[in-house]
Amino acid sequence: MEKDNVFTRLYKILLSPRDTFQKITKKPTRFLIIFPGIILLYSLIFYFLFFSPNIWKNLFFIQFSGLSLLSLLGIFYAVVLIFALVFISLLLIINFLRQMITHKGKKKKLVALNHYFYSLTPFLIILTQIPFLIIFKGYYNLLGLNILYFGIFIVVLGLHVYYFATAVGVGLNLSKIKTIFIGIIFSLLILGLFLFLYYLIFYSQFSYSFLGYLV
Amino acid sequence: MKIQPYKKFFWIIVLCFLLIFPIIVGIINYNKTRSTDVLNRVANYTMKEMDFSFGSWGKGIMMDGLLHAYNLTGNIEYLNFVKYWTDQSIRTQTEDGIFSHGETTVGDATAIGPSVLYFYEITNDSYYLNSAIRNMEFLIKYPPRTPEGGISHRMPNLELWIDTVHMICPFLAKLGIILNNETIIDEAVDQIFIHDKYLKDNNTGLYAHIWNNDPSGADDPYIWARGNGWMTTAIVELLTIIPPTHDNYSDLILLLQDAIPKISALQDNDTGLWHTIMNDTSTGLETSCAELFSYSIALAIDRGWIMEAGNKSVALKAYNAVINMVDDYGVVKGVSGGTGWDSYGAPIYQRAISWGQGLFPKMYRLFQELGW
Repeated sequence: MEKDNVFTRLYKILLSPRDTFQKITKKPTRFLIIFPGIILLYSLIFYFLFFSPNIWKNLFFIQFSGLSLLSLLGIFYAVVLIFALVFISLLLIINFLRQMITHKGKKKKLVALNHYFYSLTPFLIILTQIPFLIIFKGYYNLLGLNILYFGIFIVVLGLHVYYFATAVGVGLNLSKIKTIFIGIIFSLLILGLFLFLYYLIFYSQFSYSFLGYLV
Repeated sequence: MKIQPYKKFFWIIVLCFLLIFPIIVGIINYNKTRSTDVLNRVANYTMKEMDFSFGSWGKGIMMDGLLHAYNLTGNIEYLNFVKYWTDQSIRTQTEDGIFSHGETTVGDATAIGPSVLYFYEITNDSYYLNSAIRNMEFLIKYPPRTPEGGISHRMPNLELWIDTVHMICPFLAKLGIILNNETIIDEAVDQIFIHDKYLKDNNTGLYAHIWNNDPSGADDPYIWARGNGWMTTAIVELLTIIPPTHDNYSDLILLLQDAIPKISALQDNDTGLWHTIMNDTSTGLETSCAELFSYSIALAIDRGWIMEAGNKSVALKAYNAVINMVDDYGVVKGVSGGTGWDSYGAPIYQRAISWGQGLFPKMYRLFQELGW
C-alpha cells in the first residue's frame, strides 16, 4: 500500500496536485502537524527574503538596529508567527463567510488549513538555495544572480497561488474558470500585502526610530 | 495515483539546477567573493574595535564607509551597525545642531550627515531629515565667514581648512537636492570655490591646509596630501549629486582637471602612495590620501571628467598600494593621525585610524563596481 503521510503528500503535490488535494480533502493531516508546518515553511520564505543580502532587508530589518542575533531571531520568528496567524485567521474568516453565503454545508476548518499548508509546498524549493546562502553568503547581487533570486521568489509565490487555487477548486468542486478566479483573487491579496508594506514603510511617515532606544 | 514519469524527471532537473547553478557561479567567481574578504576584514575590524562614541569626522567617515560596505556586500550587519550609530548621533545632537555631542570643530561632525541622509532616503522618516536640517542651519547661521561667505572650520576664529569642503559640501548638496532648495545647493558649490581661492598655492597649483584670518595666527601653507584628497573627493562627490545643468558644474570639472595631473605627478613610483606633504619627500608615505586620490581619480575617469590615459594607471597603482596596506586583522596601516599645524613630522601610524578605516570601503566598492 502506498505510504500516505505529510512528507509523501508534500512530494506528491508537486507531481499530481489535484489528486493529492482530493486525498487531503478526504483525510486531512492533523492540526498539530499543520500549524508548526506552516511556521516552518513561512520561515523558509522569510529566511530567503531577509537573511540573504538583498534589497528586501531594507524593508524590514533596517529598523532593528544594533540588536543581538538572538534578539533578531526572536523578532524574526515573531514576524513569521504573526504572518501565519493573520493568514490562517483570514482563511477561517473566508471559510465562515462562504458557509454563511452559500449554505453549502460545513467545510471543515481543518481541511481549509490543510489546503493552505500544502499549497505552501513550493516554499520547499528554497531549500535548494541554502548551500549557496551558507557557502557564498547569498551574494546574489555580487555574482550577478539577481534574476535567479527574483525568479525563484516569483516562481515560488506563483506556484503557491496555483496550488492554493487548485486546492480550493478541488475542495469545493469548482469549475476551471472559478478556480482561476480564486487564483487571481489570491494573487491580488498577496500583491496588496506587499504594496501595503511598501506604503507603510516608505510613505506613511510612521516613525520607527524609537526602536533605536531599545539598544 | 499515476504520476507521469516526465513530471518527476522535470522536477529533479529543476531542483538540481537551482541547487547547483548558483554554486557553480560562486566557484567560477570565487576570487570576487574571496576578495570581498579584505573589505569584510576592514569593515569588521572597524565595527568591533573603533570608537564611535563621540563625534568627529572620523566617526562620520567610518559610518559612511560601512554603508559602502553594506551596499556592495548586502551584509545587514553593517547596515544595522551604522543605523545604531546614526540614531545615537542624532540622539546626542546638540541644541545648536551639531551631531554627536558637538565636541568637535564646526563642520567635522557633519561628516555624519551623509549617513543621516542615507537613512532618511531609505526610511522616509522625517526624524532623520529634521536632524539634518538642524545641522545645516547651524552650518549656515553660526560659524564666522569670509567676506565671500567661506565657512570657518573653527569658532570663534575665522579659519578656512581644506577639510571643511569634504565634511560639509556633499552633505549640503544632497540635502539641497532632497529639499529642492537651490540656495543650499549653491552654498555647497560656493564653498568649493571660496576654499579654492583662499587655499590654492600659487607655486604648486595644489591646496594648502589652513588659511587663518588672524594675521598673528598661524597659516598652514603645507601641501598636505590628505587635504588635497578631501578637496578632489568633495568635488567628484558634488558632481555626482548636483545636476549637470548647474551653473558651476563645468567650473567644478575644470578645478578637477587642474588638480589631478599635479597630484598624479607627485605619486611615489615605488609604492603608489604619496608623501604626507606632497612636495616634501622627507615626510612619510601616507595611505589615506591614496584612498582619496584613487577614489576621486577613478570616479572622474568613469564619469568622463578626466581622460583615462595616464590617469587610470595612477588610480590603480594607488588602489593596489592601499590593498597591500591592509593587514590580516583588517587594519589599514600607514594612515597619519589628526593633522594640524606642524604635525607632519609625526610618525605615520601602523595602528587603525578612523578615517583610514572608513575611506577604504568607499574606494574598494568603486573599484569593484568599475571592474578594474
